Amino acid sequence: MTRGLLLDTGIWIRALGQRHDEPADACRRLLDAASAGGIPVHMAAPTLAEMGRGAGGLTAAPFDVVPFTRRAAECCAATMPETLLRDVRRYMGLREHYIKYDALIVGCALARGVHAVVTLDVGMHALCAEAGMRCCDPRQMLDALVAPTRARQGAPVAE
Amino acid sequence: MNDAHPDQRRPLTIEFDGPEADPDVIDPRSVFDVAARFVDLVQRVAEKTKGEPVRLRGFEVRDKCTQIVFNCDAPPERLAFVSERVLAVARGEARIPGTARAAGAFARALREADPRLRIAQRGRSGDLRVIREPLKAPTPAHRFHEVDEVRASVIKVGGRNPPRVQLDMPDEPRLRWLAVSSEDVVREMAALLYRQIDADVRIHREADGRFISGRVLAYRPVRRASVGEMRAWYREHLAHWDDVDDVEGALGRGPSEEDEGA
Repeated sequence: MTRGLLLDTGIWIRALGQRHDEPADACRRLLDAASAGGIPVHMAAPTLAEMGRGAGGLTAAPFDVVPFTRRAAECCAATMPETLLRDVRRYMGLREHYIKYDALIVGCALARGVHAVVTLDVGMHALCAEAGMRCCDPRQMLDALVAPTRARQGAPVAE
Repeated sequence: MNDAHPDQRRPLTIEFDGPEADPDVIDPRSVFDVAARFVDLVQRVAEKTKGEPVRLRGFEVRDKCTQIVFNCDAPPERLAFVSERVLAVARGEARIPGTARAAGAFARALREADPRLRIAQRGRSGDLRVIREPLKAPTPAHRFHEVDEVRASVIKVGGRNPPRVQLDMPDEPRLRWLAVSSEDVVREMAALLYRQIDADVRIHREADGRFISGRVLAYRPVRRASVGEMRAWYREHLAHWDDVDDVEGALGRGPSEEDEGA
C-alpha cells in the first residue's frame, strides 16, 4: 500500500466537504485513515480540473497531483483503446466525454503506479478492470485499511 | 489429462523469423518470455470467446528459424477461430473484453525481448509469426527530446562540468545523471538526498526511447499535506460543491443524454 491510492473526483469532493449523503462518511473516514496510516493519497490532474472549474487560485492546491504526462498518455493508449471506451459507454449508458475523462484519470493512476483507484463510478471500475488496475469503492478500501488482517491479504480487487 | 483423439490434436505455433532467429543462435530468454506471454494470451482469448475449451499440452521446437509448436486439444475449426482472434488481438486489430491485460503483457514481452520484433501477417500454416526487423543504423534524426514531469528520488549529487544530480526515475531501468543549471542547485538538492521530488526534465532519447542525456529544468520536493490542510483549502476554494445535491450529475457522470431522454 506504500504506492498509495488514487481517489476519483467524487471521492475527493465527499472526503473534503461537508456533505451528508450516504457515501460521504466512508469517503471522509477513508481519507483520515489513509493519512493516519501514512499511505500516500494522489489526485489525478483531470480531477483537479473537474473539481475546480470556474474556481481561481488552484495553483496552491495542497494535493499530490499526478500530472497527465507522456507516460500517462502511453498507458491510456495501450490499455484503453477507443473500442473499449465505446463498449463501456454503451454498456453502462454513460456519456462519452466522461468515459474519456475517466480514462485520463486511470492513465494517471497507471503512470504513477498506485496500489489502487478508489471510486464510486461504475464506468471507472470497468476501465480499471480492463487496464489491470486495482479498483474498489471507499467502503471496501476502508475495510482493508482498518482491518490489518484483510489488508495483508490485499485490498478488494475488481477484476 | 489429454483425452482427445490424436487426430483432434492440432498445433498452435509461434514462429520467430529474421536475422539471428535460428534456434542455435537466438536468445533463449527472449524466446521463452515471449512464448510464455503468447500462451497466456491464447488461453485468455479461448476463455473469453464462446466455444470448446482449448487445452495446451506440451510443445516442440522446430528448426524453421525458431518455431515453437504447442500441442492443442480442440476441434480444428475452434482452433482456427482462436488462432485468428489471437493474431488480431496481438496486432491490435481487434479487442475482446477481458484480454487487454494479456495482450499488453505479450506486447511488453516482445518489446523487452527486442525492440525490433514485430508481429507479421499470418504465416502460411496459420501460425503467429514474430519477425525481427533488420537493424538500421540510428541517425541523429531518429533521436528526440521530450519535456516531462517525473517523480524521482535524489540518489547522488555532484560534478562540475556540468553540475549534475543522479535520479532514480520510475520509468528508467537504472539510475540516471541529469544536468542542473548551477552548483547552487546541486547544493540545494543535496538537502533532498533519498527524498522524492517532482522534477520538470528535458530528456534526450534514442529513437527506441533509450536515455541519452537529460537536464532538470525545475523541481519541487514532494510534500504531503495534512488532511486538515486539504480541508481548509477546500473550504476556501471549492465549498460550493457542498451545495450540489447530485455530485455525479454535476460532474456529467450520470446517464447519457440519450438515456435521459428515453
